[in-house]
Amino acid sequence: MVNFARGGVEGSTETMLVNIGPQHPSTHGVLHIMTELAGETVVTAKPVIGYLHRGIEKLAEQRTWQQNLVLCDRLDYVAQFSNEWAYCRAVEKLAGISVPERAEYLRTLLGELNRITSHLIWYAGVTMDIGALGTPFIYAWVAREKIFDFYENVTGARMMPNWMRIGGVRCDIDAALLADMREFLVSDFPKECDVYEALLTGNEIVVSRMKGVGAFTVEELTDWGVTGPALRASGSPLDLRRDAPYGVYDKLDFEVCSDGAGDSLARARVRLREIRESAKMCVQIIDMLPEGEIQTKIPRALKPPEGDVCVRTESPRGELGILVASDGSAKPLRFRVRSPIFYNLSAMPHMLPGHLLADMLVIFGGIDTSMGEIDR
Amino acid sequence: MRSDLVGILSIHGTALHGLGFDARAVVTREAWRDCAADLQMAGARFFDITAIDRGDSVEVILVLIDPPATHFSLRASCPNEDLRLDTLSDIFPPAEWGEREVFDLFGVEFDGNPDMTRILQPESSTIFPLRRSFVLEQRPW
Amino acid sequence: MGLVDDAEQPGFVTTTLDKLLRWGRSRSMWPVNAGIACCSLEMMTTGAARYDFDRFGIMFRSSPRQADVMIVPGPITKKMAPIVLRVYNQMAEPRWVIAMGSCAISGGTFVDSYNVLPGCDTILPVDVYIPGCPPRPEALLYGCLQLRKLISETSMIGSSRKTLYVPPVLPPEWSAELLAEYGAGDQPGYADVTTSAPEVVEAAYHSADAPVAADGPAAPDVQEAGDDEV
Ligand code: SF4
Repeated sequence: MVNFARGGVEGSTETMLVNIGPQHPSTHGVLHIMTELAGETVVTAKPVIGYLHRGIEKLAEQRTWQQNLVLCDRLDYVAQFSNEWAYCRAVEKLAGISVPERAEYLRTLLGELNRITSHLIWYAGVTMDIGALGTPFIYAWVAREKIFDFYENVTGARMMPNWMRIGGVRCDIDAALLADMREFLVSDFPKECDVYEALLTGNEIVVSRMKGVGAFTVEELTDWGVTGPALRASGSPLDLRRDAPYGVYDKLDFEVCSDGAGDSLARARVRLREIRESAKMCVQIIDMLPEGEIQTKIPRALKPPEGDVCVRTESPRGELGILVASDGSAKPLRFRVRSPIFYNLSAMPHMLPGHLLADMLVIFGGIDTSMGEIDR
Repeated sequence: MRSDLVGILSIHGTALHGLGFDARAVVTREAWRDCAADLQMAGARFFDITAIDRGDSVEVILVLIDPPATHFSLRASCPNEDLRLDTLSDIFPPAEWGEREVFDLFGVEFDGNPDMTRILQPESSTIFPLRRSFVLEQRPW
Repeated sequence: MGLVDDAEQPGFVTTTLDKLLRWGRSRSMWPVNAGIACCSLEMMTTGAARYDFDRFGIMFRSSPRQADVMIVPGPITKKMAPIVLRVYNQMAEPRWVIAMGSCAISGGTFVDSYNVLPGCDTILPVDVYIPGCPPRPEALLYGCLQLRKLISETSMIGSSRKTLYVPPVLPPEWSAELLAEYGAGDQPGYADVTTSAPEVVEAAYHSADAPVAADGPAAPDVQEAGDDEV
């Protein structure tokens, strides 16, 4: 029986307790993992979370439906548009609001660009964890800054856009901006992607560091509740954009990136391919973009009817679920975020035992944490 | 919704109401665990476990996926005087953390969960913030 | 840095040396790499190529022992507060704190929450506040330059001692061990190494190092130190 408070297995001196975090550069935020080591091998691992618990779910009950969009941005601060979109979809389902076609296209466009920037952060983080200090990080930020400039031109903010609205989006995107973005995605971005791939999957040291590390089967991962790219890397074709399309995904031509190997390298490959797929989707959306309204008229004091709905979306990290409940008033009765990484992280105690301590961070990088959404 | 899942629900004395995003089945607290176990055997996948405070009771919600695309929820309500429910953590491993969170924020205890401690708030906390009886302090300005 | 510690009447050599030290310190601020929330992403952006922290001599250090600036990029929750304070107390003197973003300044978006402190200045002595949610990288650079000005204008004579910072109000819900580590908070400010009995503060200092409270008598000793001074 492990007693973490006492520092290891009771009555035994063979194993050693190592605390990683909460202030540690490779935990990507404030995560604390208590590991018990036998030599270099992890015997048990227990993630401790809650260091960033801001009580967003309670705060949401004090604000009106529209005001809560501000909190959605700050949930998973690496994938802001995904959260906004999921919340808007949930409220729209609850209140029976329809969204104009152009707004759906714009949402999908920003959602996919967001997937690129989110995966780029993962890329910077995971390469740093395995020892490539600096170089891939700097390169990842090149494309990210370009896309962030686009966000800023469109929404007025770099990181906290607050751009989607219930029933549409806040402001339209200029044709010139779109043309500019398209140009970037078609010409420069694929070259950037080549660089990313060369630095990660084309680098012999990185490959030998990742290959075969943390290989899991689809059954195991499904059992542990893992979703998203981490699951697809084991060969599962599960992707809500294809299985239960929302936005305009049913009109787009894209490939669900999955890989059979299931190890850390496969997880990296899947994410790198998703970056390219997302860029392709964005180009398609820009080409297909129809003219028209961007916002349906909704009452300022929105009061959805009584009831509750749960909506699932595919965020860059996995299946993001938003459950909203209304009691017919101007404020939500309950706002629940089913965070994909919360459950991905809960699989860590199953995933880590038997691996080396140094491999732990590689496996850990494979699920791409963002503490804001885990702790809420 | 697959017919075998509907059949399992009817064995446990409940039925599915609503459609799409709103499909739900309410079970008694006694049938909660068995029903979830049968659904798991029939291939339902875990999505989420959470709760809503309904005033005089707390409704615990288990969202399950009927692969690949549809989802539905299984609900059981616990009266305020007796906030306990059987654990699902051995049926669905991720439910362990989900139940800890429900305990942390609502105070519902899950019998049989191996680690029924606070997960998000500090250990020293004494509040259950998502209960309606817990009211946030007003700002002084 | 005990070089200029006891100079009551600084002479020419001391002041010249002080000037040199100030120049050196203000040009090599090393922040501790402590990402807390969303603002830390803008902090990373500032470190990347476009904004380039390095040209100001600002380099992120992973260990608080090597750092002298702490950028607080996000809300401090009740669970995080003791850790942030401990990281701060582990940093080498002299040290500075930058509160980045509205959360670190006042609690920001989450000011109503039950689990967020109303600003990191409730537990840390903040030197520079940078408003914004998140502040743009330019704003962070500007804040760092303001801190540089502050450092190069503040004389270091007699100020660079190993100190344990005790915040004015310790959260009441902290455990007894944690409270004892900071002398139960009845001596707010800097518990000064040179004026208290050395072995007492040394013990307090080392108990702040250990991740688990040491079994030694460190805690009651700190209490005594407070009594002695009164
Ligand atoms: S100020 Fe804004 S961006 Fe910064 S941590 Fe707070 S919510 Fe996040």
